[in-house]
Amino acid sequence: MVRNKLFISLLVIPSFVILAAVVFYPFVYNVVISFANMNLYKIHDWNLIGFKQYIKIFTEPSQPDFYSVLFKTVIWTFTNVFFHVVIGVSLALMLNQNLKGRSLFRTLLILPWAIPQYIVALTFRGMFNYEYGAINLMITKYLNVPAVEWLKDPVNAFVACIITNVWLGFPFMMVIALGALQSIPQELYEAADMDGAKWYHKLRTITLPLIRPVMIPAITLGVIWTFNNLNIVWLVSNMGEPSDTTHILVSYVYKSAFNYYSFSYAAAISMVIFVILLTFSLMFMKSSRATEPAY
Amino acid sequence: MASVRLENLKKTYEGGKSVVNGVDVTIEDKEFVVLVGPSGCGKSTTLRMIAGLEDVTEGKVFIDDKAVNDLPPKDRDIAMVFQNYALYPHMTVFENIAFGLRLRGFPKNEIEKRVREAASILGIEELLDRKPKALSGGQRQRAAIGRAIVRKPKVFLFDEPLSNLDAKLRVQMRTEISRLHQRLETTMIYVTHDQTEAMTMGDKIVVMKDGFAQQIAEPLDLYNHPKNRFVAGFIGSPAMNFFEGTIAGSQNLVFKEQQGSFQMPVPREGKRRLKSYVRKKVIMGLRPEHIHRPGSRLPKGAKVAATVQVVEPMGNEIYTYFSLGKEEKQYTARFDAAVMPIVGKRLDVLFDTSKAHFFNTETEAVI
Repeated sequence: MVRNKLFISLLVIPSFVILAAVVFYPFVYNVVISFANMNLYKIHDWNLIGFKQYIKIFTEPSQPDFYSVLFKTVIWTFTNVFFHVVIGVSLALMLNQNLKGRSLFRTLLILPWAIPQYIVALTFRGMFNYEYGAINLMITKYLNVPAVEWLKDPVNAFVACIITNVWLGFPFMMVIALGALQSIPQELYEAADMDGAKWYHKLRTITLPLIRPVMIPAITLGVIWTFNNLNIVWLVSNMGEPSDTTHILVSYVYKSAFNYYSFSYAAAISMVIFVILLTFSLMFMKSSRATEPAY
Repeated sequence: MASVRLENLKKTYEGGKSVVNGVDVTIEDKEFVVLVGPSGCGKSTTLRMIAGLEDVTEGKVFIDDKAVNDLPPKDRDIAMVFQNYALYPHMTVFENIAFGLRLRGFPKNEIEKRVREAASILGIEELLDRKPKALSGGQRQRAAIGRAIVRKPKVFLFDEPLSNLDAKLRVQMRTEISRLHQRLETTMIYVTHDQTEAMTMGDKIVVMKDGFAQQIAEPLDLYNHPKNRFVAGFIGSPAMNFFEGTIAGSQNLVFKEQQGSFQMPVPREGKRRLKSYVRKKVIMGLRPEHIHRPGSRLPKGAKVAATVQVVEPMGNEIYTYFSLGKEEKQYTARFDAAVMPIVGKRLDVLFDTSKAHFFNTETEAVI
């Protein structure tokens, strides 16, 4: 029995050590420095200063303003996840039909997800170029609309980031929704046909409720990933340009930490992000009863 | 109430695979008809064509003399009970049963009344607030039947509804569905692969194989007068024994088993039909209950030397599996449970020749 326990411990220890090194230690370190004054001048001789960094976040004016960045992050997250889910589920519904060339479409539609994010971000940045970008060339040629200053205007630059991330993110939701759709027994639709259900009845009363248990965790993940997505905003808007107006919280954290070297301030914002996402995830999973099986 | 008529019904899937090859059946009003056959015989496809869940490739489906080929399922006024219940897992039993009524815009109090009525018929009043996952197999099946009867349709279709239940529950539900038929007095079409279900429930049975209706008859007629070897072998449990042999003689015809294990006189009523088969091969069929222990008093019995291979005591009777001569093929007899035959021992059994069926070896049709 004792030998058995020892053996189990030996098997568990390597993963525990790795987890401790890459998750627990950085997390605890982040918590500690969020209560300190670590910055460019005090990298080694930092002191604990209590809640001062947190108070600074919520009370002191900053450039960009924390609340406007938080608001933009919420808009960024909501808009992205909304389009990821709507486009993803719609395409999954189409792919779930008996279409000719279904597997070809499926492969093509998964492609955006398979391409590394930074390549997509830089490609889109090029496409949003005022003079030579494909998007302006197309809208001026085919829609007869004047060229748009995508990356120089704060709103347009933010919209450009969202468009890029929507393109990148819908395949994940599509694949998840397709898997969920394929697990719905065909007999349920046939029973509904016998009962006289139209396509929208079936969508509302069978499809959506039955893909919900799969989609809720996917949406939760999508919210966390999108909320924390640094690459797209950072690369498409070129580090929050114009004038730090396109930041979301994570890009703001990154800039605070690695451009302005305010490590403790950045760590404190990270903790705020952590608390926001943890609260959201717990509340969303609980209110949507995501852990209850459908069948 | 309605009659259903299938005229030369055919179904061919993309790629040319034919599953139903021309079925003609008339199902009278209030009749309980069972489509029975082995897997892949086309019985479920036939039912689904009646339901409107499959397109008809050729032929016509009539409900009350009205061709319904082009009508969607909802406009055929039929209800169907599926093998896997097809209950909506996120809805309560009440919501499941009420679903069709709600879609059809029934007023709330009428829905409430009808659902309670159906639940009381099926004895599931206390389960109305539960979700399907909190129900047993039998309760789920009752809820599925409730969803069908609540609409008061012209025709009920059942697609192997008892296949997922255990043996005891299957027997119980079988009688419940039969009772329901007597109570509702509605046309019911029932698909099963289980010949016992077919025999016990159906007013009329359609035996299917390879997409064709092999025989359409009342249960006992099917049992006593099978049209071909397939029907004879499919209906009845344990299945009918088949012996290959030839007809010999001139006045008194005799069936000679091909290995020489036995010979027996052809019953008088079969003589005329078998005359043209003298010196030709035929198949003789004899049901297990028409093979008796030695000493049984039979007016026209043939004594046959057998070797007991396996015995299966069923309580009230014993299924005895035996071989003849050096043949490896096994045959079955049903003996009463008085004395247990001894495995490996020789046993002289008596074949009741008056009950024998003869089939053409090539066409397999009854002679």
